[in-house]
Amino acid sequence: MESTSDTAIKPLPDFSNRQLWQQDIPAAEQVMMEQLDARYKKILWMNITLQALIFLITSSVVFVVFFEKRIGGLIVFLPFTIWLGIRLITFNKVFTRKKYALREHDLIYQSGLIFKHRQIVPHNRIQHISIQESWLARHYGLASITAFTTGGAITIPGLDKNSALNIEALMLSKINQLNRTETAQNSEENPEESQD
Amino acid sequence: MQESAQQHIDFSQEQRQSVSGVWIEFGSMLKKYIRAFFVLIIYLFLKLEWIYYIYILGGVFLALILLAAVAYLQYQYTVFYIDQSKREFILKKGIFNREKFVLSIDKILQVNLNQSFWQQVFKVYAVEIETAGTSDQELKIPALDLKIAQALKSELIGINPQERLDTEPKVDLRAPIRIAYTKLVLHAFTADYLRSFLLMLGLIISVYSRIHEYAETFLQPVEDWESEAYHFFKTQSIALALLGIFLFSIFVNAVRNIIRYFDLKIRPEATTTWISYGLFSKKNILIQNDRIQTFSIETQLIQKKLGLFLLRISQSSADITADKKAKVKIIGLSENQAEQMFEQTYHEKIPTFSTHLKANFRIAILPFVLFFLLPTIAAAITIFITKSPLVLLIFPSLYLAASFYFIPKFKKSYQLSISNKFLKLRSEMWTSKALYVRVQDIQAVSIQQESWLKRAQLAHINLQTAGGNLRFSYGDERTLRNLADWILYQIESKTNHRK
Repeated sequence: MESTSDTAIKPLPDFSNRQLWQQDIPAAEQVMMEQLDARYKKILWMNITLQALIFLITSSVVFVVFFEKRIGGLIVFLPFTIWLGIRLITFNKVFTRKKYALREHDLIYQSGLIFKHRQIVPHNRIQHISIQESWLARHYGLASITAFTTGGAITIPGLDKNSALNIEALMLSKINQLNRTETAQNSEENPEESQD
Repeated sequence: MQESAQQHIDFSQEQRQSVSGVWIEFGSMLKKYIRAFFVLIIYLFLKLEWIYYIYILGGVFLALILLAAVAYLQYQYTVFYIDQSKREFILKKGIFNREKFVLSIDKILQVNLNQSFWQQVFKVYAVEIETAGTSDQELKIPALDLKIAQALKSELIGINPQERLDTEPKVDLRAPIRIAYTKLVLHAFTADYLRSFLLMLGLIISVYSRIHEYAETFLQPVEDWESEAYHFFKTQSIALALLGIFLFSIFVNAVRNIIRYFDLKIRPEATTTWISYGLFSKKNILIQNDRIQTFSIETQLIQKKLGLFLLRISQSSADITADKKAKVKIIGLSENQAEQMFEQTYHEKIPTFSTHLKANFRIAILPFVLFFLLPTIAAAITIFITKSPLVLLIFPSLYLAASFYFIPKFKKSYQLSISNKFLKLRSEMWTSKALYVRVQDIQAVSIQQESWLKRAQLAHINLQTAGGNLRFSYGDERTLRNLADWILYQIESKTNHRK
């Protein structure tokens, strides 16, 4: 809001944060976010179907038990219809909003159409990484990857299994590299400290 | 620490607890079983003829012997040692279910020496070990002599002998921070009374219904006094009763806080801070300063006038919501002492912040609805339902009018300040809060935006640390994105930077 703030917190120019994992042409200024694998749509469809079934059954139970099948009771299906309509209309947009990017120094994941959310985890804060495959995901050759920090985790679903493994390998090498430089620095710093 | 050096306890050998550990074990089991069975025993005493008393007493006696035997075995099987080559602490316990805990010493967050009632009787200490990865209550050695406990502690924290040589000359004998009793008492009376009021209300309601239940099953004519109580509540207006409960809960809360924080002492050392308090159960907490994640100084209007500040710090923990020990709360500090604690924690004074971000007016909507609008409506509805004189409506309206003072004040004070190393989130309404987070402690950054905020170009930023989050809402979207980039730069360039 205050104009002074913008200048004060600009990143320094000599710091590079190139994108590491990218299938498209690299854009210099902006991060090109990657789409999730198109096969992940099928899993999303399955999820919606399952949720719709549960929603429909509960609505029907309410309709039969509480409204005793009266015509006016049909109103209990209104929330279900609205919910289903929104899910169907926004399906593609919700899917395309889910994007990720792996940069030199961090991992980014964004999602949400109504509640937009973009999470960034730097590599040097990651404790460990895990790859999960549900039975459904395995069927489609998909996997999700989770990076854990001590202050929360970030999960990217719907990746091609090979991409997930590649990302994991890249991140691990990055993390190990960071660890090595850190320990090297520590051993360098120690003699200085004892002189103080 | 000097004592431990003289004693030379070899922790690489298997160690047992102090012998009084048997009694501690016995006492804690007894407590557990009494709690579980006393209703049954009392029931048997009431129901059965006195002839059977001998059987009951015999049974209790047998059970006691059995417990003592179990306690002895428990003591025999609880051993611990330190594997120096792997730098691991190993604790074995259990008679039938043998359990073995292996902890990497580097992962140990905190070692607490505690004395509850039984430990005080036998003059021993319970040693509790905490790590970030496990929020396990099991890592506890119930009874150790003070010297052994202290030796073990220094063995587990600040272990490296070279490290100790490095730090020891730096230990300037900082003066302990003492909290004056008058301040403690004043703070105890003004601290979170709203919460204790609600607790008390809940307690009274539950006790009332419990008594009601018992009375109905054991005594026949309850109607009389019950209806009398009902009558009282009806005629003497609920407001008066609530006022009584409110005053009572302030009193109880004060007593509770005084007992809890009695003899509060803070002893700053070079890399650690000792905090000890408690009247009946003495708590000794050792905080490692570099593990502190969030630092918050809080006060409210009355306390501010009296110069009372509350300090809330959180340490890194695997599960910050479940792990109570990761959060430490200290009351009765003066502003000076709170600043002193900041310096002690971060080895620098509270910085002067150059950049301040303000929030959009929308930030005030939720507090207004939650703290002013809803209570007012609720009070008004109660007045109408109970058919109380409508003059009483003046109170809710006055309350609502107060929002014209508090809400703009909140909106004005809510700001995120940024310095080179720190972020500070400030807010002020009835309570005022200043939450400090060090940039290097941030683990993940996320930016959130509801779709209806897009046109207004507003967003929220959430900064996660290992000890809780800092969330700044309804800020300018572009500025927040810049801020996120800047924070990431600070974190990610750290290793490059130190070269």
